Amino acid sequence: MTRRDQDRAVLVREAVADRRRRLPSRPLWALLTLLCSFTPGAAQQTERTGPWPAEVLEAVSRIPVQEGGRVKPLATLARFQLMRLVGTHGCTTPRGERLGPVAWLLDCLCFPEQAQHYAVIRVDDAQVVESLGLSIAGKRRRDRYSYAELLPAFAKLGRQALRFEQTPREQRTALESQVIRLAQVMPQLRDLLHTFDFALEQWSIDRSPALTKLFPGRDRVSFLEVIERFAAVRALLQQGDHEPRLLQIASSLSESMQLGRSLRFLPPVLPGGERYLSATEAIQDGPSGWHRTVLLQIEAALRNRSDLATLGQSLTELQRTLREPAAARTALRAIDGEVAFYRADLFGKALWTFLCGFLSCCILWLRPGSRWLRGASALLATGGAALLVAGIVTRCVLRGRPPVTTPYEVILLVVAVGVLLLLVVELTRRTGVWTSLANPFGALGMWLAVWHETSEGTDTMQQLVAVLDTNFWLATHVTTITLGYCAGTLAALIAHVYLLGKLFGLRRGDPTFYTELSHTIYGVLSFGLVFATVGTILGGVWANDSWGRFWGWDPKENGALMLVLGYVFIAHARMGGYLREHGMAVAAVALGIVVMWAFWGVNLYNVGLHSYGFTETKAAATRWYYAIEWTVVGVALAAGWRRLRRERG
Amino acid sequence: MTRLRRTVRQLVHSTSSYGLTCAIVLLLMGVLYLGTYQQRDLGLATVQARYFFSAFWWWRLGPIHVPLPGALTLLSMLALNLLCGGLLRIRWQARTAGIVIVHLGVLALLGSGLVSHLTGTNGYLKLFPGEQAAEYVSFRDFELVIGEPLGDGGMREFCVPESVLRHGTPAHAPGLPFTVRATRFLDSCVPQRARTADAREVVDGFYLAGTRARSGVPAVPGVYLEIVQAGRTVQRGMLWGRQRAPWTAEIDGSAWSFDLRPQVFDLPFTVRLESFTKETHPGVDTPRKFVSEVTRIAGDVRQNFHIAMNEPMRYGGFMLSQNSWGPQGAARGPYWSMLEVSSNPTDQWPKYACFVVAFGLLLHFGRKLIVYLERQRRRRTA
Repeated sequence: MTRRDQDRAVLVREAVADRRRRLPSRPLWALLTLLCSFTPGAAQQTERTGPWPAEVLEAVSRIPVQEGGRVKPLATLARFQLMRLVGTHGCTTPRGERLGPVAWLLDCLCFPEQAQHYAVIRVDDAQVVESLGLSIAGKRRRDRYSYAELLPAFAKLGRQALRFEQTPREQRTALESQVIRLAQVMPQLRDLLHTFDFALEQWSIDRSPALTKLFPGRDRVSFLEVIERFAAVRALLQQGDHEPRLLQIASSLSESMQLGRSLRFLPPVLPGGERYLSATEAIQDGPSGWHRTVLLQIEAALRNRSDLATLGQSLTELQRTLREPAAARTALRAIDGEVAFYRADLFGKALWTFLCGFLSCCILWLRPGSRWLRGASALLATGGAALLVAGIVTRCVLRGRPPVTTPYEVILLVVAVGVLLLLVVELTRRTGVWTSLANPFGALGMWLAVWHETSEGTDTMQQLVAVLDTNFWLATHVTTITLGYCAGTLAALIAHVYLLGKLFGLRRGDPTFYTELSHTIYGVLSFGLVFATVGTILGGVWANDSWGRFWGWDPKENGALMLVLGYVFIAHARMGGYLREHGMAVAAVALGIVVMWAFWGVNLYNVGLHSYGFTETKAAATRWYYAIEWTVVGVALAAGWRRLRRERG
Repeated sequence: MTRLRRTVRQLVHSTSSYGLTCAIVLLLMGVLYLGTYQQRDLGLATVQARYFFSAFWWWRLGPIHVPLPGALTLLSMLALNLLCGGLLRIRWQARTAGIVIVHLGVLALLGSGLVSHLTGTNGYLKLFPGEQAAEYVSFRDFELVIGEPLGDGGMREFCVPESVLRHGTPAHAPGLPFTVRATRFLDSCVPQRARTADAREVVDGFYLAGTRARSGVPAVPGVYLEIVQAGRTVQRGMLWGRQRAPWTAEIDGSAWSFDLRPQVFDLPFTVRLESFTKETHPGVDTPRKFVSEVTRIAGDVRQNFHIAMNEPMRYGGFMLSQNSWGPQGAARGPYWSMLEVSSNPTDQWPKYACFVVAFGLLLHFGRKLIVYLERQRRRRTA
C-alpha cells in the first residue's frame, strides 16, 4: 500500500463508522468519498536521489510564510515544527542521512512518500504505541516513530485522545498526556505531507469516456486541470453519471481539499490583505491570477522532481516569485534577518562558551595559581555574555519588542543580567571567584533556555495578545520585575556556594572568602529589592489601566508580592540582627524557591488573568526543584543550629 | 506628662521593632501562599473574602479551629509598624532619607488600598453599538430591590445594599409601609425543592441549599426575608440572585415586588457605544485589538473617546476600560462590548507612590553602592 492508500483506508474506516448517522446531511463530495472504491492512486513513486543543494536550502529558507498570526521565514516554521515532533533541530532518514529542518520540510513537501518513513515522532513511552494496538518490536521505551508506522492507528489515536481530554489536565496520567500530544502532532504531520497533493496528483482518464470527452486528446489529467474544469465535472456528477473513474477522482479531490492547510505561503493579492493562504485554501477559493501562476509553477516543478537539479532551480525561482509580493507588505529584511539569526545560533555558541569557561574554572580549582587559566575563564565568561547580549539585542531589533515577551526570553534576560552582574562584581573585587560562578550560571541558564525551547516546540517570537501589546509596559513593568527575579536567582546561587562551601570545608582557613560571599549576597539582594518592588508596583499601575483595578490578588500578582515580601524580610531581619552570614545565605536559598514559585509555580495553577503562561511540561521539574531546595534549606538550618549550640556551649 | 511620654515611647518602641516587621511579613507570606494555592479549588472571590479581605480566618486542625490573622489585619499592623518604625522612631538624617521616603511611599500605597477597598466600586457596562447607558452593574455585590407599583405603570424602587442584608439589619425608608429584614444570607446557594425529610427553612416548597465555592463557577447568593409591620411578621420570602422573576407580595392591598439582583450604580454621565472593533492576528484566533468608540454625554457636552486595552477613559472620578466582548464564539458581529467601570478616589495614588518608592530606594541603595565602591577603591590603593 502506498502512503495515500493507507491514509484513505483509515479515512474509509472513520467514514463508514459514522455513515448511518451523518449520511443524509453530508455534502456531495463526502457522499462520493463513501461510494468510492479506493484503488491505488496515480501519484508518482519517487525518492530524492541525492542531498539537497545548499543554495536551494538557502533560497527556500527565506520564503515568507504565515503561522501563528505572523509572517516568518520557512526555515523558522520548519525548525519549530520539527522541534515539536522530535524535540531536536534535525532528523535522520532510514538511509542514515542527517537532515536539517529545511531539508526535512522540503522532503515532506516534495517527496512525501519518502518523508513519511522518517522517524520524526518522539514517543516517550512505548506503552502509548502498544495501547494503540501497534507493534513495538525493536523499539526502545523512548523512541522515535515514523508517520507510516503510526498511521494504522490514526483513527484509534483520535478516539483515545478525545476520551482522555475529558479528564481534567491535572488528573491525567503521563500515558494519557502522551496520547493527547501524539494525537496533536500526527494530524500536523499528515497535513504537512499532503501540502503539495495538488501538484503531485495525476489521474489517468483513458478508461473514462466522460472525462475523455471533457479533456479531449489527453490520457492523464492533473489536479489543477480538474479543478479548473470542476463546474463541468460537477455537472457530470449531478447528471447522475457515476462512472467509477470519475467518482474516484472526485473522491480524491474531496480528500485532498481537507488537508494541506497549515503551510500558508501564498501572500494576499488584494491591497490591505493580511492573511496568507495555503495551496488548498487558494484552490478552494478558485485560484485565479497570481495564485494560479504560483500553483502551476509548483506543479511544473514537481513534475520533474526525479531530477533534483531541475527541481532545485524551480524551487529557487519559486522563492523569488513568492518574495515579490511579500516585499510590498512585510519587511523582507526582517525575514532575512531572522534566517541569519537562527543560523548564527548565538545562544548555542554562548552555551558552549560558558561550558568551556566552566571547564577552565574546574581546571583552575585544581591549579589555583595559573594566571593564564584565570584569564581564560574571565575571557570565556565575557565572551559568552557578549554572545548572549548580542542575541537578545538582535531579537529585540527583529521583533521591535523588549526582550520579555515570552518565558523563553525572560530566561535569556535573567541569565544575561546574572552573568553581567557577576562580571561587574568581579571587576570590583578581582578575586576570580565571580568569573568562576558566572560560567556555570551562564551554562546552566542557557541549558535551561534550550530545554524550554525544545520541550515547548513553539515559536519563541509569537504574536502577543491584545493586553500585552504595549512596549511601554513590557519595557518598564516586565523588565524591572524580571530583574527582580534575576537578582533572587543569583543571590540563591551565591548562597549555595556559601552553604555548600561551608558544608564541604572549602577554603576553611580563609574567612574573608565567606564574608565576601555574604556581602555580595546582600548587594545582589539589595539590587533585587529595588527592581522587584518597583516592578510589582508598576504591574499594579498597568493592571489599573488594563483591568480597572490596581490589585486583584491574582496568582501572578501574589507571586510578585511574595517575592517583594521575601526581600523585605531579609532586609529587615538583617538590620534587626536576626540574620547574619549563615542565616542570610539560608534565607537567600529560600528566596530562590520563592522566585521559582512566583515565576513558574503560580502558572501551574492555571487560574487567573495571567494563566496564559501555563506550561504543563515544567510541573515535574518545578516540583523537583522545590524538593531539592527545601532539603538544602533544612540541612543548612540544622548545620547552623548545631554551630550555634556549639558556640553557646 | 513624663509618664505619658514614656508610655507613648514604649508603645512606639514595641510596635516599631524589626522583630514585629519580620513576624508580620512572614505571616503575610503564609496567608498569601494559602490564598493563592486555594484559588485553584475555591476561586478568587471566596479566597479574597476568606484570606485577603478578612480580619481573621480559622485554621482547621482536626477538631480544633485556630484563629489566624487575615491580610486586612496584617496589612494594618504593617502600616502601624511602618509608621512607628520607619517614620517616627527612625533618625531623620541624610543617610536615612531614602528609607524615610520609601516608607512614605509604601504608606501611601497601603492607604490607597484601604481607601479603594472601603469606598471604591467596580462593575460593568454591556452595550451593543448604538446603545447607551448611565449606570453600571456590580461584578460581585448584590442588592435587594423593593418595587412599589405606581398608578401610571411605572415603578418606584427602594434599594437595600448587600451589607445590610448580610448583617440582618432591619431596613426601612420613608414611604415604605413595612420593614424588611434578612433572616439569613447565603453567599453561594441554589434553590431546591424541599422533601418532607428536610428540616430547613422552606418557602413555597423550596429552600436555598448552600453550595461550596468552586473555581470558575460564580457564587450566586440567596436570602431569606421577613416583612414586618407594626412589630408583626406579615410575610416571609426567599430570594435567589438568579431567579427569573421577582417575588411579589400583597401588602396593604398593593402588590410589592422583591428582587435580589447585582447592585446597580449610577454614572454622572451617559456612555453611548458608537462602534466596537475586534481584531485578531491574521489566520489565528489570538486577539490583537479590541476597540470601543464611545461618546460621553454630560449635559449638552458630547465628546468622543477611544477605549482599548491599556487605553482607558478617565472622567469625573470614574475609569472605563475595555473588559470583554461577546457573544463569545460568534464569527461575525454585531458584537457587544463590555466596559469595566471603576470608581476609585485613589485611582492615581499607586502611580505617585511608585515614583516615591523608586526614588527612595535608588537614593538609599545608590548611596550605599557609592560608599561601598569608595571603600573598595581605598582598599585597593592601600
